[in-house]
Amino acid sequence: MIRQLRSELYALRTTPGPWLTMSAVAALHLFLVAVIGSQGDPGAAWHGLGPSAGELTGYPMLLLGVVAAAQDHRFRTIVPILLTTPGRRRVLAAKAACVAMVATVAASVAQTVWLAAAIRRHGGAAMHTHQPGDLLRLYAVTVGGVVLLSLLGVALGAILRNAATAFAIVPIGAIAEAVAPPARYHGPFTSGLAAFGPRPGPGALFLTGWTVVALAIAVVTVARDVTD
Amino acid sequence: MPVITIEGLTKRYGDRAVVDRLGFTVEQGSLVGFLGPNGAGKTTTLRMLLGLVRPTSGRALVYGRPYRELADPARAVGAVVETMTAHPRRTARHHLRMLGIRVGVGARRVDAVLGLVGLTDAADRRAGGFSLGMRQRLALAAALLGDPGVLVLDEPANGLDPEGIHWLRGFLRSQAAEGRTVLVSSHQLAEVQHTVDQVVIVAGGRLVAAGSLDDLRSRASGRVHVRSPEAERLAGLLAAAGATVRPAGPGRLEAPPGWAEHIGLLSAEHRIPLFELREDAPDLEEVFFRLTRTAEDREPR
Repeated sequence: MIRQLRSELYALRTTPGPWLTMSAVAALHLFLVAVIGSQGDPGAAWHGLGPSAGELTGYPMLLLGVVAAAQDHRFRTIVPILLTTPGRRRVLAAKAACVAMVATVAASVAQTVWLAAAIRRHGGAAMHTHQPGDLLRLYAVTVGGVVLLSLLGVALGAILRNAATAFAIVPIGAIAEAVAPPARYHGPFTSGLAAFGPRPGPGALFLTGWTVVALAIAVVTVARDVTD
Repeated sequence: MPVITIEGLTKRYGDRAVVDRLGFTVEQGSLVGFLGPNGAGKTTTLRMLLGLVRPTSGRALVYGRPYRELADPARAVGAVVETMTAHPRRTARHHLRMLGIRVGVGARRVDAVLGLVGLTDAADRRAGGFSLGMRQRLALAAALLGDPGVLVLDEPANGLDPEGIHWLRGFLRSQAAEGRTVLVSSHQLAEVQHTVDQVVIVAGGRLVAAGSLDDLRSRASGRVHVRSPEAERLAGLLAAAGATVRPAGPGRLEAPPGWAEHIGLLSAEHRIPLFELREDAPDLEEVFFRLTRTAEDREPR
């Protein structure tokens, strides 16, 4: 499993797609931190830390997960990969672990950037720096939510085997959920919008559920034939 | 024990059987041509052997086990089933390193296989800019990473220029000379007949022949061509001797293969002048077409 994980990390860092994604995420965060900074009210700023870092990192990580899982089919690298590692679930698990690791790093860095900006404006006390438990919870929710979104992306890519289809489904699904109140923040594509912050809404639970369901489907469908 | 065993292998897509109860074996150290026209089921068979496609029924085994159950498959079998299997933005070296990590080999082995296939100078170029021949070489390099004892190659000469085909023949011979077992598929017998020593011929998903090239040659139906001013009289004598002869124009006859010596003796005995007595060389290509056509003409499956 270690070999597969190392190979997946090597694969990610030797193509431009992930670097471009990470660069775009970094630029987006830096731009928003510089322009918007944090909320004027310290309380609102504290509550906004998680959603700002989580949502702006989580959805790009979802797309990165889709690309990581689907591009092997697009470029047919899946063939030599399965010839060296015939266990399809091991390949999927290694890919999921690799993307989750990247998501963890990205979420941690993003949360730190937003937290630092808020401390600079409102001071450490307002940002609970004297309460390690609160900070730990903030980071855990942000990292957990971003990792869940990245895993949802891996599952989508593995199920669809086609990044373009996934890229079309995600925004269409999100819009459809947004206009239907019962599905808003409960469906697979909008639950991530209510999954962050010191007191995450119902989205966290639903995002976890949808990710588990999607991964379960991926685990089953990954056994499909690999034809031309 | 055979290196590769195919037993009752069947793959159906709906009502259509792409591979139909196929069975054959490949022995250690042999260089086997897996032949059949396009759509004969060769690629599907190889993909089932390599665990990429799940059989509907039957078994495909390598060293007595399904490919998926091999402990270290890339060290047992090296396979090329598609030409372009590298990310176009990744360099050849990075592609092989990425696979090498999975196989458990390092940068030195990557350099070695790049040298083996003649890609050392192109190692740091992106695969997307490679010609078809270079892509084929890169795929072969990936197959050789684990220094496997068996090579499975699906139509490796497809799209190659004459120079590439010449290189490929030399490559296959060198692999066989090193003791590797090679199973190479092709839709053209001529492409592999100077390279392989055994053939497995399939058509319509079914086995139509398997054996050595000499076995195949023995099935070739050459004809004996005779030209004589007394062809009619000679035909009568041959018919009396049990040969089925047929006229082939004025003063010409055609007799079954193996009758050339008998015809010479008969004509000498009866003082019949012969202007021409010639036996066709066995035409393997013709046997191949006859075998595959016959199988394809069977009732629809």
